[in-house]
Amino acid sequence: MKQKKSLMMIMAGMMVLLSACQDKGNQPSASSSPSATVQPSSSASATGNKVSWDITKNVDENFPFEQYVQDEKAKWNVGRKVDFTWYFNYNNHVATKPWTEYEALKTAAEITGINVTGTIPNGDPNEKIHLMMATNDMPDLITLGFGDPAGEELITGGYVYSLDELIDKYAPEFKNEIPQILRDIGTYEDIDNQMWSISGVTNPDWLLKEHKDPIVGNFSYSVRKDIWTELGQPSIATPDDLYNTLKLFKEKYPTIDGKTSIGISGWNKGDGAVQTIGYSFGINDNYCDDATGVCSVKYMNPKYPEFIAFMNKLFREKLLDPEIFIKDEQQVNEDLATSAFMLPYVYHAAGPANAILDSKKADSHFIAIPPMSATGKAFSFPGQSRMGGATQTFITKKNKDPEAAIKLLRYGFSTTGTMQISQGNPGKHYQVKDGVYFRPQAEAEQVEKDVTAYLNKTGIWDYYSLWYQPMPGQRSDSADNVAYDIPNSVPYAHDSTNESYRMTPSGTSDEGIALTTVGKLADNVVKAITASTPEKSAQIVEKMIADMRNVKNYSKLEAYMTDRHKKNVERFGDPVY
Amino acid sequence: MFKRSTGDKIFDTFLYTFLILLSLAFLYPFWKVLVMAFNEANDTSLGGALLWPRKFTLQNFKVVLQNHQIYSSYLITISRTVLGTATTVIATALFAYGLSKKKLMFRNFYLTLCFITLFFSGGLIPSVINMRDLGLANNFLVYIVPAMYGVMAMIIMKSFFNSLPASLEESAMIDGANDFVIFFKIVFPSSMPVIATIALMSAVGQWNAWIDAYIFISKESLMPVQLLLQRVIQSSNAASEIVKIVPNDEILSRRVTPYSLQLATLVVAIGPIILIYPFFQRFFVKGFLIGAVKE
Amino acid sequence: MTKGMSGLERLQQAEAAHRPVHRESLLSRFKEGCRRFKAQLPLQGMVLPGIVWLIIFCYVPMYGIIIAFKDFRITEGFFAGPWVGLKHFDAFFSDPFALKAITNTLIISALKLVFGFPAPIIFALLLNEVRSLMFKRVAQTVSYLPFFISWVVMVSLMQTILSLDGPLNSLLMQLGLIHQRISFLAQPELFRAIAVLSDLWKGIGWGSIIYLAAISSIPQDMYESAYMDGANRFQRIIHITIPSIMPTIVILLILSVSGILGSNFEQHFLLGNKMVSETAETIDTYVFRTGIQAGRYSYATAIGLACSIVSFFLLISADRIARLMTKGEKGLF
Repeated sequence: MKQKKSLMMIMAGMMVLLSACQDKGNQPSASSSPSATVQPSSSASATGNKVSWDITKNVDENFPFEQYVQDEKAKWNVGRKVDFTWYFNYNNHVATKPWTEYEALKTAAEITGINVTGTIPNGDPNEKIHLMMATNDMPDLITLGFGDPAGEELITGGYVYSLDELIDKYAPEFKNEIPQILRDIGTYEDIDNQMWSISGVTNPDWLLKEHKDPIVGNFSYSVRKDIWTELGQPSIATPDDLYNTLKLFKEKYPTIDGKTSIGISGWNKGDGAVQTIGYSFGINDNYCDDATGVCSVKYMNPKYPEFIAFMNKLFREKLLDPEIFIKDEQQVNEDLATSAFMLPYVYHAAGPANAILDSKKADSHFIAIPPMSATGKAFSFPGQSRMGGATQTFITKKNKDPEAAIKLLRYGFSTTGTMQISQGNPGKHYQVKDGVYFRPQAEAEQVEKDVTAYLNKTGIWDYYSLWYQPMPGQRSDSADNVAYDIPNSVPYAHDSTNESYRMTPSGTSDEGIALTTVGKLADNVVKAITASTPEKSAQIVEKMIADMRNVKNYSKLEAYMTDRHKKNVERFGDPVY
Repeated sequence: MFKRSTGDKIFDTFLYTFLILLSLAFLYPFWKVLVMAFNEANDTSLGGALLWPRKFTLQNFKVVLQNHQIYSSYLITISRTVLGTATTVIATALFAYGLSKKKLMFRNFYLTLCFITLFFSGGLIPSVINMRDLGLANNFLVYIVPAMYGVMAMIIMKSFFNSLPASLEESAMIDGANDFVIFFKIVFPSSMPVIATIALMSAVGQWNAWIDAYIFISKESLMPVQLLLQRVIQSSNAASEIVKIVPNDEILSRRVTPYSLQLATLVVAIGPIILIYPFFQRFFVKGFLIGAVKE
Repeated sequence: MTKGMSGLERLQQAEAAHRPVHRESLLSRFKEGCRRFKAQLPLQGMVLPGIVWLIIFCYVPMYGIIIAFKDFRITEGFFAGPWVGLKHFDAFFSDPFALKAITNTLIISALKLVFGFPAPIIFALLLNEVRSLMFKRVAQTVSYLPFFISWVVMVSLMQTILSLDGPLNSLLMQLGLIHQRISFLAQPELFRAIAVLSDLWKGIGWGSIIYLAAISSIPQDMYESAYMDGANRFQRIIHITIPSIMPTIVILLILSVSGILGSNFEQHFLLGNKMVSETAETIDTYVFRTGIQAGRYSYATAIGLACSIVSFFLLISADRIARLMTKGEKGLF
């Protein structure tokens, strides 16, 4: 469950900044001269479904937006007023107002005639989805994190429709429009061969094959640029470097802005707060022994005790935030904006703080520096799954209008729909030149000033559950993103498809209960990191791992994970990067 | 009447000092929150002991009161408190009055049914499933119906009714009035102390409840203040809960912070009850007096 | 609790039950019953809705306990699902976290009983010694304040006071009692103290009301005659006040003991976090987490059932002990 949450953080983050791959040979400048505007490939007709805007070629500021809306409406409008609630089983979905309150989503609502209101768990997602099941209080649509075991419970509990069933009934032609890869992800082969869910943020084949530069992730070690420069831009290649740098920082800056300074900041409550440092020790979300092929939880990684010992050292010497395991995101944002030096997480996580820092003092924002590695090998963290599904969307049996829901999904996965929902109004929020989309200057500036504000205004990027990338895009990153963040995070990711796809068993199965118990035992990680002496710390870890192995049905859990991993390898082949 | 010895005087000094310190301990947390809510956000984050706003501002409240959710949540909380208290008091009082009559047929059976529930309950899961099956999820009635009767309250009321002089009702009975008329015209008005106590307990319970909403309510239009508060203060994404209502330049200019807004929301949420409760004190002290005499 | 029928009536009824009855007399008894019932229809009309409510909201869930012996699936009713016997109880006894939760509950409840139970009594006795009516009124009013706020508010007040930069840390630092700031809410060994103290803070004033009421009903002449006999203030408290409120104390004690397996769910749910879960997790929160968060409905119901059986026996024993202590005068039943 913890893994799921952090995975979602990556995915959401990716959508925020990495709206498309880097396509260096093909960068149109934002100030390019206006070119001929795109025309509908067939003339608009009031009766219907023939209009199709080819926006993959050119869209500029003269784009006939009104016309486009009218034509799209003729094609996609359901012809009645529909209101959907759409539940996202993760907390980093931000757009929780009705679509009509966002600049970009408003257009989508007008085109489809469907107004969507997003809701989020406001707390533990796992708890919320189970509460919803227990009280049978279902929204119209549900989006789960990729591979969330709650999916199986929704299906076997009879809470959701088979998408195949609805598509056959309402829009048989949609079947041919769904790429095979989406069908693969949405099928639960253990249950039947129906497609139950549809995934967003999928790397289409062309992205992988033609561009060979997949968007893979953004874990990084971010530091305050001004302080790091003040300290002499030390490199942090090994744990010792990290330790020494933090020591130096604490000496020079015992306090910042009148507050006790913080060496390493983090949130997520529990060991998720220090997850990235774990990656530096080669501890991925699950552990698979290369020699035997046996898979298990990450705590079985032979490097695990070493990692905890190092974290314990940092904690004892006050280089970690002493409250790192109880602070929530908002408290950490406050720290980052005032007194913290390093955030080992995803580079855009410092976004809200960056805006504040820069408004107080120029160039004092967070930048990513080359990550450390404790394994002797290059740093590597789990990147976006090659199959790319970041979400799985279901239509519930409580849906008020399944026909409209299918039409909405179909619109969402169409070229114009996916661009409208995730990139905004053509011409204004995005433009396209030579088959590459980009954000016009005025918009790009707003993004750079404050990503969160931009998102709150437009509503774009948040419904990536309806995203299937139709064309490459140009990055609209700031100079420091290009200079530091991207080179210091993106290339360090590895293809984590096989080690992550549906590796979490359903929570009510024997394996799932074993995993829950293991997860509860893992609370000891926090105790071990915060232990007062190295001996105590080592003892706690040793006992924890032994206890985990003794958990009832642990062997079943191991067998499940090993088997699932084997199936994944057979199904998806070797990692591509 | 009693003379005070020296020992008494020393004791009194300690007593008063202790009680003053204790009262301060009760008040200080509220004062601290109030001060910080009225202090400039940027200044608050510098920390330090605040006994008085260093830089007074109303900005936090200005922003918080822009949140429409606060008003709709207040409406829900007030409705559930008023309706919930009224139904509980009337339903339970009628129940208790009926059971206080010895001539009631099946009385022992009814009472046994009541007492068993004091010792056994279905527990969390069966109750949740039961309420789901009754269609109470995402339904305003989930605040009212499950809280309608209270066995403990019934027992307290019943013993009070039994203690009323029989002559009170007899005259009405001779006039041939039926039990409902007797109850509402005579018994209810003469039971005000116990009614007020039960009403107050029920009202406080309703005002402060959030678990029922936490489990059963997902519509924001049905969210009571306490759940809103729980979300703003406790949930892991309090920031996004707050960002929804904050104009971005406010955050950027550091005129408000999520923390300062949490505190202002807190003040808005608890203000009314703190202002009101001293006026009810008379009632509940009196009600308990009766309870104690009854024991 | 008074019995509804006299001994004679009961005797008659018992006889009636065993005596072979003729159809006529049964019918006539039935008719007579109907007539009486009709005559008291308004009274029955007051009571029956309550009984229906009890059946729906208390007895149906009680019946739902059978899912503790089944593999219950949430989409189905209480009847469906295969019987699995004591499987979930077996799992319960081999679940280290469940046992830990029980230990935690017992320890915290015991602490709350030891410290939380006498506190309102002492507070009431102290307040009673205050002569200035004005001062007494104000102190009382202030002490009720925490009772009127929810645990959501309570916990955020505590976070404000106990935070690293908070006033308690500053105070302790200034007094030189600690040398570095403590994050109080992240220390498992401090959690119990915090839970007990916060409970005390919230409930002491309210809890004292009933004792103050009991004290105020003690006849004043008892004090006067004791004063005449030369009893000083403490002797008056020990020999008059406390014995006079003893019945109230005993009743409340019995009720507290029976609640020993129930923790304050809201307090623990809101105040607990990963760092303190080893001491903060109680039965109630554990049932919530396994039942609702993890979707193991049958298992959570089994835990709840096991615990409510234990607390029933605790109540019975507390009652017996109370009867012994008060020589049979006071008991719940």
